[in-house]
Amino acid sequence: MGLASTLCSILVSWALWGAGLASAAEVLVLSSERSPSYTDASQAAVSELVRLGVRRTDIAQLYVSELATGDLGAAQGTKVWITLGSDALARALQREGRPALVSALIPRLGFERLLRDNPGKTAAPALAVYLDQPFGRQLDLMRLVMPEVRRVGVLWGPESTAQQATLLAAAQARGMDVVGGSVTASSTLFSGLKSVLDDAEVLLAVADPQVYNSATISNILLTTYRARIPVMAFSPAYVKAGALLAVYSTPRQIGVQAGALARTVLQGGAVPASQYPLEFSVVVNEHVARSLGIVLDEASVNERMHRMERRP
Amino acid sequence: MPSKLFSALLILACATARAQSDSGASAVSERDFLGEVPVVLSVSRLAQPVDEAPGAVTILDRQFIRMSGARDVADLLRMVPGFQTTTSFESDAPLASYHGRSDDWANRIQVLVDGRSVYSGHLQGSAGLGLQTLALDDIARIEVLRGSNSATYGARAFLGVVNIVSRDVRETVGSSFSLVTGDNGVADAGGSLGWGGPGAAYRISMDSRGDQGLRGAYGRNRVSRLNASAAFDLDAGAEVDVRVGALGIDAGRGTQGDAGNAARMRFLGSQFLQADWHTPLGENQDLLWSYSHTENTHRDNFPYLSNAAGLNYFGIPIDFSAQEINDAVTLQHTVRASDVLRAVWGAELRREAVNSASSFDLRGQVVAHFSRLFGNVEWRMDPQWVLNAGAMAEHSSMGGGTVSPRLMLNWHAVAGHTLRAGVSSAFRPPSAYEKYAAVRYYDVLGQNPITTVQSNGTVGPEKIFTRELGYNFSLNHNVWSGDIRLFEERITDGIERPANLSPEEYQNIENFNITGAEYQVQWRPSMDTQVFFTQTWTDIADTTRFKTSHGAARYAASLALMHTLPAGLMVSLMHQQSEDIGLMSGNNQRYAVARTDVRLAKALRLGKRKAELAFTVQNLDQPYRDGDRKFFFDRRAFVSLRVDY
Repeated sequence: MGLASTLCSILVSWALWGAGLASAAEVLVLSSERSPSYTDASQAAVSELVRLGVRRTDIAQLYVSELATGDLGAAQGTKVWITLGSDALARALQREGRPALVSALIPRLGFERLLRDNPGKTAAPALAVYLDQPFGRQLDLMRLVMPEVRRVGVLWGPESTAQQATLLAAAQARGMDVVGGSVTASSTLFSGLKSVLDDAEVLLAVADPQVYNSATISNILLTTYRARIPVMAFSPAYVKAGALLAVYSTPRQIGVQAGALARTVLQGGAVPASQYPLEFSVVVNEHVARSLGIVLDEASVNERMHRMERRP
Repeated sequence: MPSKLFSALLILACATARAQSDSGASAVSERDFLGEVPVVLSVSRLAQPVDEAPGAVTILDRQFIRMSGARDVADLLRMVPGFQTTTSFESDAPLASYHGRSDDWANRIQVLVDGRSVYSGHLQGSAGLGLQTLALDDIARIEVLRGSNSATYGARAFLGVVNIVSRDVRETVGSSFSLVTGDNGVADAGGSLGWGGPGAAYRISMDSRGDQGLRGAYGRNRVSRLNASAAFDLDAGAEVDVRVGALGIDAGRGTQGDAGNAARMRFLGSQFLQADWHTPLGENQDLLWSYSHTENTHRDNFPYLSNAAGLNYFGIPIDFSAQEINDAVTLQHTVRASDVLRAVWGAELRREAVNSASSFDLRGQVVAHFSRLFGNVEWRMDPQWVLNAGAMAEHSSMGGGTVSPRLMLNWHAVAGHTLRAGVSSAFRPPSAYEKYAAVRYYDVLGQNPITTVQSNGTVGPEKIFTRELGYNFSLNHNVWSGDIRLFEERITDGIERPANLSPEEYQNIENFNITGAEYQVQWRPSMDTQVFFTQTWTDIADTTRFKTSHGAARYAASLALMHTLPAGLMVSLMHQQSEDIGLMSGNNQRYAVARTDVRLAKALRLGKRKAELAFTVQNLDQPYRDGDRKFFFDRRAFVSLRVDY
């Protein structure tokens, strides 16, 4: 095992070093995993960089599993790293003298936590394309499909609770109230859920693994459905499971945006700020919608949401 | 028995409960967004929307139930178009029937409590006892399907279905209690305790409600209940629900001075165990297994203190006691074959045993076996057209072999407006009592029997053929909603006792036609306000029996107004009236009855807990005759305090 991985890393370093000799890569795309989401994002980022004029030979791609003992070989000369996922970002942040980072496939809370935990000594900027959607967009969607909704329920977990003020501001700007329930441990799920069920007209799911996980999702979706409270989720998987709808960005959409940001950083000048996804899709569970008596057409909701965001 | 059931529940709880591990990482990461989760709202868990259901539906939800001030399910059902109800305990527990009652009983509707059919074969198939299964505080909603629905809900759904759904145990973690006291000896108390977390959740509730009953009726009445529920989440979205419960009713009946129907206290009891295992098979199909065991006990006897039948009969026991044991197992498979086709089919095996030495003189026991196959296809032929086609085939030792088909077409003419047309036919097999009752009174020496009821087992099922037209609307995101139902229900071979026949015998002699119209309108301009209004016109023709032809009011209306003021003050007004209705012991007279209730409630905070203090006045106006010419419902005022989970 030890021998194999050492051998492997030597080979990889050698390969990269070889590539570097030919032409020093300017951008490194570092993925946390080899699963399809990361590969999709990675390919999209590379394509976008190429489309914007970066030579393909100036882009290196690596997986965290290929990084042994912090040896990054040819990545040495790169000016920008695109990290995909939390593990990739964590590894990048731990590196002494790292270059500028564009972090993608990571939710805002995860990004901010990793930055806090790894202050580092470098002045190189680190910015992100968040994986989660801005609350404003989610509330706009809610108003679009359920215009009568005023009271939005949220289950706050130990980590997501940091976003309370942001949501409150977005809700107030739209004339909506937030009904919060607190889930600090799995044992408090039901009491949190109850306070939301009593007073809210819709549940906005805000990701927090203490609240939404494979052990709790059945309870949350069943209880809310039986109380006829629609759930707006944060991923298409939850919609398939029984949430009414979700607005989300695909890894490909995220990858494109990360590629474009990396290109901006590469060009020098002002470093852009972290941003939410520009491109998104709305997915609807039409069976759930029909059962709840809500008329929803996925294509038209998507079209109207995009039109609304394009308005100045 | 209840203690056995509870220990069984506890063992099951221990065996099934398992510690749920949290999903590994406790920090938000991309895995929360990119990971897969099992399908939870699988196809059978998704209810048909009201405008696609094969019939008219009235839903009474928790808010409505609570704000109505009702203390009993039957009292709520009086607000539903087409229903006749009574709060009397004379023939059974408080009864509710749709489009007329059969003799003293309400045996032409199906009452389901969490899917379990709760009629009593000894009480002539009546569901009054079953309506008492749950305390109102434990009920999430009551769905009333107005119209014959045997294809989906079994043979008892002859004229309609009352589907009582208990509160999800996940919603009731914590404790709650309520106290009610007021006029007419109203004294109710209830409490509930819920606990658990993801993986397993439990609730135990107890309550007892009682009052002095109706003026003119004998004795006070008290209903006491103990119910326990557990829900276990298994892997991949599967769920097991276990429920046990025990119910006891002590109520007076009879008339002072009437030797054959003496004033006395009677006990009706019921206890049950029910287990449901629901397992999704992927996104588009799932299975539901259900088992239920129900035991009903009736204790009702008194000595015959008269010489009218002869000196030798003085002091002999008159006994209406019985014991029933019902077991049912059901398998149901739901499948979404495509975006436009959804089907459900299944089978049920049911055994009913009624023991009563006094009702079934020589035979002592009646055991009936039922086997049923049912299926329904919901075909969305076009976004605007939905066809529901279903049938139930039943074979039983009580009613032989029957097939009950139903066809209903819904047309979404314009967004929010649906027209509906359908036909169905159904059969109701006779109850054990109707088919085999043999009531004989022996003299003090145990000889010379006098037979008062003699059914020889030849009575067959009664039949119904229904044609209906409906309209359903939902406007402005459900601010306005409602439906209209025009119906013709032709009952043939109706089970009844011919007048002046001695001994009495149940025969298939009733043939009549119920026609009419009913509608309901609901206005909910906000979460704080709701108005519910209904009117019903019913004509029961082609019968010479007064009781049948006037079993339902020719005209009835109901109105509920509920509003919450900003300070947490809740005001409700409930009114119901029936014109031209026959009553028990009414001697072919027609009556008009009306009742208006008001309720004022204030939401409170007791520490961290929500509470509510309410003042209710039932029947503001003159006393009205409740179900029977002799029984009067006087004005009642009571206060209640409820402290919530």
